[in-house]
Amino acid sequence: MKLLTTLALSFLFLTVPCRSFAETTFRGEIADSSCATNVHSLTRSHQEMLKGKSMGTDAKSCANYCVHKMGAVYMLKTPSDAYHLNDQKAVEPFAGAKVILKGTLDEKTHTILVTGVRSE
Amino acid sequence: MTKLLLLMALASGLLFAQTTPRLFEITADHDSRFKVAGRPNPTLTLESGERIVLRITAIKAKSMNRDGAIHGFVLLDKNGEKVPGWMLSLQPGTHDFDLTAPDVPGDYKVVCNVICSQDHETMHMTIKVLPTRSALETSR
Repeated sequence: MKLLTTLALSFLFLTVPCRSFAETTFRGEIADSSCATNVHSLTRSHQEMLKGKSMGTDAKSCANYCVHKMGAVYMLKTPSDAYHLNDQKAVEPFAGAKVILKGTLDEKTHTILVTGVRSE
Repeated sequence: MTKLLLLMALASGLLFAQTTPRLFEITADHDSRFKVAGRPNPTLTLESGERIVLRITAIKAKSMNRDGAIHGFVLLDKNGEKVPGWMLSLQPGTHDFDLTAPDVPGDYKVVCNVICSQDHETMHMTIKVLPTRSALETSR
């Protein structure tokens, strides 16, 4: 019984931290936080802002405009979620693009610590 | 002894007066406008490095973020760079924010970074940062 308990506890201690900090591959779009976190963003993305034209004509110009002029930051938008990204410079060239992003997820802050990014 | 106590009380009163941050009340309104005393697109004037309290009342416009934020309050410098510590996410209701004015004097723009309505893009105000009085006196 003692052995089982020890094994179970060791398993918990060894696996829980690893799960939080394991490198994961994410797929999604590099979007601006204003569009990515809005209640409409999961279905309509930048559409509402692009209607106004002043914020750009496509996902890339909209994301760059919102980050550089409207106080937003780049995020990774997936079909079901939006993640903060620790390395803004690394993802800037991919603004508005679909990417495959590698990194570790800090679940507490919902931030991906980016280790690599490339176009999908 | 009484005199000493009196002096100490006076000194602590002066100290309190110097360190109590000024309070500014702002409304982030349902018409996608920042307002001070009902006036839209206001300007606040601060001293560089001044500690302040912003009491912001946020009222929902049309849309919101999934985390419940209905407006944002982000300070940008003249190059459009975000000022550290001044990226506020505004949940409905009244909330106090302890902030420190930027060290560099100049005009700063406040923008909303939540797509709150079709007028979101024009929701802004200005914060004018002046050199501290002591800096002005030194430069004279």
